[in-house]
Order: sequence, then C-alpha cells, then structure tokens
Amino acid sequence: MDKELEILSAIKSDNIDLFKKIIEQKRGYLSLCYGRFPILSLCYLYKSSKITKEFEKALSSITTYTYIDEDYEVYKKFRSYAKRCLRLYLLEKAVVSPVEMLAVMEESVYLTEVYPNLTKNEKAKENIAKIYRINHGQIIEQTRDSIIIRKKRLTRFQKIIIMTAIITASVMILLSGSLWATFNVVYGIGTDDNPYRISNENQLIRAIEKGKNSYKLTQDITLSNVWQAKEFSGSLDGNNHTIFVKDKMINGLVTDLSGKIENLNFTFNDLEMDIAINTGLIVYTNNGVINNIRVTLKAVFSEVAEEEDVFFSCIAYENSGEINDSEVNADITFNGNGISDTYLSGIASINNGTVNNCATTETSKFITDTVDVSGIVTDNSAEGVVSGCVNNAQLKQTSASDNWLPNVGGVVLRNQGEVSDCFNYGNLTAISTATEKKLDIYVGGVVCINNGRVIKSKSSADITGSSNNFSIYAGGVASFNNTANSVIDNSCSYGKISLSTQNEEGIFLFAAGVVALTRGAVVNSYSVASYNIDNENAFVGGIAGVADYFTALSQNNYYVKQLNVEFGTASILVGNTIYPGSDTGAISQTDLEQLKGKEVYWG
Amino acid sequence: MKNEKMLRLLYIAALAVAFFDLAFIIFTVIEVILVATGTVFLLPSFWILALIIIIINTALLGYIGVYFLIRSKSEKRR
Repeated sequence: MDKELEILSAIKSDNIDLFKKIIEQKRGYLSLCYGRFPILSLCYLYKSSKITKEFEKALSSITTYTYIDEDYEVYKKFRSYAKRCLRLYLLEKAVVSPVEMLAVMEESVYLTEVYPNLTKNEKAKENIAKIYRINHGQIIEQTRDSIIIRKKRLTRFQKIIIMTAIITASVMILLSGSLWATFNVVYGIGTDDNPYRISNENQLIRAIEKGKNSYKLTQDITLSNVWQAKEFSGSLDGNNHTIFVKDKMINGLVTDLSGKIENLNFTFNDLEMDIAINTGLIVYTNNGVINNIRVTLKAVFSEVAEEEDVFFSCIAYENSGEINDSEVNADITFNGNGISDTYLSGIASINNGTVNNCATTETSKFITDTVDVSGIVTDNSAEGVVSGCVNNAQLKQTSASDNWLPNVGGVVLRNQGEVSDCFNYGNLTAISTATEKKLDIYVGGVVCINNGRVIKSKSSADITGSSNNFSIYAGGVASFNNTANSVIDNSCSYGKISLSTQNEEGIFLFAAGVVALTRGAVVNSYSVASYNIDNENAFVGGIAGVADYFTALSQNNYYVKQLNVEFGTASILVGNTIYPGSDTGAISQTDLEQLKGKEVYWG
Repeated sequence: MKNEKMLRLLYIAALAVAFFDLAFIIFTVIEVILVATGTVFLLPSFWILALIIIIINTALLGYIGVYFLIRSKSEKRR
C-alpha cells in the first residue's frame, strides 16, 4: 500500500525519478486506478508533464485497471474542474478516463492532439460531448480517430456587454480628446502662450479677483455692476476689444498692477461725478506694463477735496513701470474748488517709470476751471522718462481765484526727469480773472515747469495767456526752466504765442520761442514762433523771455526774427530788477529757410 | 487565467470605467456651466481628469483586445 501512495505522491509533485523507480520494481503499478482516477488521468489533473511525457504512451494503452481507494484530495481537485459534470461520475465503478479528464480540464488543443492515441469507449465519447456542452458550452464532433471542438461562442449578452464597452471606451477617448483640444482653444489654460479666454463680465471679474495667470478677451464687454478694483499681477490682453464702462468703474480696473495690461479699449459714458481723491481711471499704481490702451471718455468732474492735493489721470495715477503706445480720447471738463491743488492729465499723474509713445487725440479737450492741466503727465519725477509722446488735446484752464496760480503744460506739467522726442499740437490757454495782483500764470508748449531735461521736443501749437492781475510766463517749449541743472536741448517751437492784459501796472508778460523764464541751460534749440503781444510790460525773446542773471550758459540757439522780438533773451533778471536782454547764445535768422541750414534744425 | 475569469474581470473593469466616464461627463458639464457663467476658469483638474479618462478607456480597450487574443489561444499546450 505504501508504494501506491508513493506513486500518487510522485504524480502530485511530478517526481519522475521516484515514479520511475517504483514502476521499474513492478510494471503492474501502471494499471492502478485510484478510485475513479487512472494514473494518466491523475497526471493530467496534476499537470505532471515529466511523467506524462515519458509514460503517456504506456499508460494510454491500459484498458484494465487495478482499483484501489480514492484519494480525497484528488477528488476535491477534480470536483473543482468537473462542476456540474461531476454527476457523470457518481456511479459505482465509474472511471474518469484520460480523454475525459482532458475534456473536464478544457485542455482542448491537447485533447485534439492526443485523441487518436488515447483509449476511449463509447461511454467516454458520450461523456466528452456532455462535458463540453454542459461545462464549456461547446459542441464537439467525434470520429474514430479525431475530435473537432468548435470554438466557444460568446452569448448574446456577452457580445452586447463587450460591444458596449468597446463603443463607450472609444467614444470617451474621442470625447475626452476632443474636449481637451476644444477647451484648450476655447477656454485656454492661463499661460502666456495660451491664456484663459474672457467673454463676459463675470469672467473679467474672476480674472481680476484671481490676480494672476494670463487672460485674453474674446469679446467686447459691457459692465453692468459697479467694478471693484483689485491688485493684479497677471497678464490681460484685450485683443483690441472694448470694455464699455458706463459709469461702473470709477476707481480703476486695477489698484496695483505688477503684471501687464495690453491691447484694450475702455469707453466711459458721459460721467458726471465729484472727485475727492487721487484717481487713475484704469490703474491706480502701475508697477508693471501697460501697452496699447485706448481710453475714450466724456466727463464733467467737480473737485470736492478740501485738504489733500488731488490728481486725476485717464490711465494711471502713479506709474513706476511702463506705459507704452497708449492713447486717450477725452472730452473732460474739470471744475476745481481752489482749496487744494488739483491736477488733470491724459496718461499718468505721477511718473517714476517710462511713458513711451503715448498720445491724446486731436478731438480731445481738457477744459478746466482752477485745475492745472497737462496732456500726458502731471509730475515726471527724477527717475521718470517721457519719450515719444504727443499731445493733440486742446488744454484750457481758467480761474477766477486770487489764490490760484494757473499752470498749463502741453505734454508734462512739472518735469524733474527726462522728456524727449515729445510733441505738442494742441492749443494751450491759461486765463486768470483774479482781481488781486498776487500770482503768475505759467504756460509751456511741451513742459510747464522744467527741473530736469527736455530733449528734442517740439510744440507747434498756439499758446494763449490772459490776465489783468497776474504776470504771465509763456514759452514755446517751457514756461519755466527752473534750476541751474535744468536743460532744454535741441527743442523748438512753431506756434503763435498770444498774451494779453488790460492792466499795465505791475503786470509783466514774458514770452519766448523756447522758454519764458530760465535759470538753466538752453542749448541747440530754435524757434519759429510768432507773437501777438501788445503791452509795454511785455518781454518777448526769440529764445528766452527773461533769464536769471546767474543762469547757466545757453548757447547755439537760433530764432527767426519777428517784429516785436529784439533779442534772443529779451531781459535779464538781477534780484528784482529787470534789465535789457541780449543775443548771447542765440542767433537771429531772417526766415525759416535760413534756419533750416543750421545743424541744430531737425524739423 | 481562465477565459471566464478574464471575462468577469472585463465586466467589472467596464463597469468601473463606465462609472468614471459618467463622473467625468457630469464634471465636464458642471465645469462648462461654471466657466460660461464666469464663476471659475477651467480648473487644472479638468486636464488631469481628461487624461485619466483617455488612459483608462484605452486600457479597457487594450484589455478587451488582450482578452480576445488570449481567448483565441486559450487552450495552451501542456
């Protein structure tokens, strides 16, 4: 009995040496049948490939078995394969032949291969057919030496499930891919290369609230809610679309810009509002970049501040970054109360950065009452650069205040930095109807008060000043070249300067092609300006109206001689005394043609 | 692995993938509505989810392909 168990053990572990050793002792062991399982069936069941390979031929020819007790473990293993076919082997003396074992284990290919060599009776054939039908759902055909097992077909339900899965998966792959591509184009991902797209007001609100990422407008937007300005460090590309602001955005689009806003138009409806604080209509403080902004505005403002100075600008209150290629088309009427200093400008109130290639349009008008006005910048600080800017707006200030000193500058009101390649084509007017003799009027074609450098700039506009009680300083390029370090270099003027007063006592009118009053240097500059001034106290110079005695050396300046112009510098100021001027540093020209021959001339 | 087990696993996988697909569709619809109304910009999670959906559906198709491949060669030689 031990040998039988050893044989079974050898089969289970595919131990060919042990199996061979026992069989060689007695060949009769090959006909053993463990209950319902002959040795070859057990070899198939336990996948004993080594034993099968060597003894399959001998085992397959055995038809008569020596029955011994069935091993329960073998039964359990067989049962797990046989399932519903187990009932075929419940009868006494039932044997699971090798072919049936292969059928139970669904070893169809191998069964087909060895089928001709294995012994099978009619009962076995019948069982094989049942096994395939019941367990595997397959129909087989058997002849004497062959078996044909048709491939198992999927049920209708299985086919539906699998087809549904295939179609759904394919559709979802296409859908996800399409959504990926479509959303990428339609909505963007917020990068500089592929910014988020903005097509409505809410999205614009979210963009500014989010404060970062890149955005691009795809449509014009009309604001319907009062705008809440926020800090913004992202990038907003208007794509040349317009935000119709109506009266919903009076505190700016952005409070502090450290990112970029570009290619965006703003249209404000007719505004009527009180101004009590510093205001930049688009950005309060710019530390980033503003490119190609267009602001269209028609407004009437009234100043209501009582203590602090008030600055108003159509783009930025304070610029410490860059403002490039931007334009203001504005018709503004601004009435000051004369209590605190009030200023109006087109692009920026205070410039610590760069304002480059900006302009006001020819249809623009800045009409103020007791509000100092300039076309582009109010205060250009020592670090500020204003270059390539053009003022086309008509600037006009009137004031009836005895305590108000009207200032008008074509491009910049007060310059401590650099103003270069700037042009003024808008007519400038300053009128005071003050009744007491206290103050002055300053009007400059490019800059009103210059403490810095004005380089290669030009005014072709008419300048008008009028007051019965204030002295008037009107210069084609600047009104006041204020310090010994102030420089006006290679700049010029072409317009007509008209000054008038009804009062000839204690009122002085200073007019000149380049600068009305200078303490600094005027070099390489020229004037083609003409003058309409008829007053005994008028000092009209080709280059300067009055020069401080201690003024910096001026040289290489030219002016086209006019009827009422006697000298390049009309008068010299020593202390409080005015002395006759001279042509030091200035050379008169008979006409423009002669002037064009000088190396300083550039147009 | 037997074909039946693979088929059963295929059912489970297909069901799970269908669940994810449905969740993604719902997420996308909500996302589009929120974006269109300006409540949010497209969330970065959309791109991740879309990629996951593509990957798991491709994996499902691959699994079905492998299933049929193995099925056709299921009765391997001993």
